[in-house]
Amino acid sequence: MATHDTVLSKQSLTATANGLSLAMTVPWYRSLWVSSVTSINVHVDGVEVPQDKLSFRLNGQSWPMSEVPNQWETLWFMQDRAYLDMDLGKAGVVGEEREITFHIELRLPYMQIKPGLYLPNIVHQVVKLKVQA
Amino acid sequence: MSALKQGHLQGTTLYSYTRMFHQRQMTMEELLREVARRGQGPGIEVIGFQSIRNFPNPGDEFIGKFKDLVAELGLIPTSLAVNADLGLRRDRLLTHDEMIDYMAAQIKLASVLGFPVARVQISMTPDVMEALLPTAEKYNVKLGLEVHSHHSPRHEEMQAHLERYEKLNSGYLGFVPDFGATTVGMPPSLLAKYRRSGVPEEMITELLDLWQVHHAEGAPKDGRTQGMRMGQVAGIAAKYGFGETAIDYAINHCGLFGHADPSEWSDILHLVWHTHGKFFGMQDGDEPTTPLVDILKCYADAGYTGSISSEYEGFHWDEISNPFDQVDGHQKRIREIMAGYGYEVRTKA
Repeated sequence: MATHDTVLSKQSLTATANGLSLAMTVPWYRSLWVSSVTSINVHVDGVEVPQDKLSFRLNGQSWPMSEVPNQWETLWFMQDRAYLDMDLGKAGVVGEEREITFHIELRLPYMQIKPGLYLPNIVHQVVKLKVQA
Repeated sequence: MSALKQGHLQGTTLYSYTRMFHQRQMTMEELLREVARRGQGPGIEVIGFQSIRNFPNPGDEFIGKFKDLVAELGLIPTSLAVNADLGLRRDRLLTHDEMIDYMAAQIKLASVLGFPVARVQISMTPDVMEALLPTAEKYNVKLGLEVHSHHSPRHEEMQAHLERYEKLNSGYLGFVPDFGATTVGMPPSLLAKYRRSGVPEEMITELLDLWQVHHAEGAPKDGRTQGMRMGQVAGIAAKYGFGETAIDYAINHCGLFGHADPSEWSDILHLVWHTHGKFFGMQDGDEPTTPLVDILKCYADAGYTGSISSEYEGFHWDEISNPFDQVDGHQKRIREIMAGYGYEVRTKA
């Protein structure tokens, strides 16, 4: 439900030296611990970016996706942006339009449905974004 | 005509304006100033993990600024919403002692910021609530367990809390009713959003029919019924090709628009100091989803003088309406209804 349409904005996609980066707003109405991120999958122009080419960056810290669920002492604040850095093997090109299929699954750490099972929050978006500088 | 008796304290929650804050259009200070300018207080509720950076340890500078600002604007802190993040870690749940510490830090901040109530949620068991009682007493902060759809006062879990609170009779353990537990339909603004996003009319009809079936059966009294209902909604969504987000439909349908009868609130109002006046969108001066006339009758009969936050939730799907206008309309309607019951809503500090 919540604020799904705000996870990515038109300015989210930026060029990096080895690929692209996506700025993300936490898709929930409160700040969540980084450990609440269960998974992120992203396709660029229909091609899936392998998990080992993704990293999650927030306030100067960066983790490979496999380490994200262990970050339970870092809060993703409502008004902060986290970045999904994608290593695509070549520099991103500013001004190009790319089709991004973005899928994020969160588990809400305070909404236990039954022991060990948490309410998920899932956002699935397909958007065309112009690469920003 | 006899003079009106003093009624509840009018207020709002910054949750109503989540969209502006989330999108960095307004800061917390700007939100509070607009609340005061529009006269949507004096009661002000804050979700700790939403509005406050580094919650629950925001630092002395934030604490000082918040207290000064609230005093300057004539606002009255009502409730600080706190969270029990039992599943914080992936490898295990927090232990009982860790959970007590996790909550105590938030309750302490509620006290420091001047909130008389900390709102907690259903993941708290009666045992954890009882274990938190010394903390609540130490900091002089009442704990209010939110009664949010799909729960209702007569759900078996709430009954267990009610029994414990009545037994302890502490004056510190009670409830925060959320009007979304007692609704009469799905909000027109959500159906409009479904249509805008291409949900076929046949699917909307199926969802509405199923909601009515659940409504006729009444609010679920246990977790098994709730799980079964969510599965039914997800099944409809999947059938129409919305499998990726089926859980969303299920959460909206079964988690937000509760089926309990408003009269259930009367069971617990003797243990209520603060209330979430949840609503989903005003239409022609009234709120079509939460039956305010029936709900507020319970409050009038109980002589309730605690606080009510107008809690606008339509922002999740309605990106068109202005949340501040929505709260204006909701509060106006509540004042009218309460006047009809002989109460003047308190709108000044």
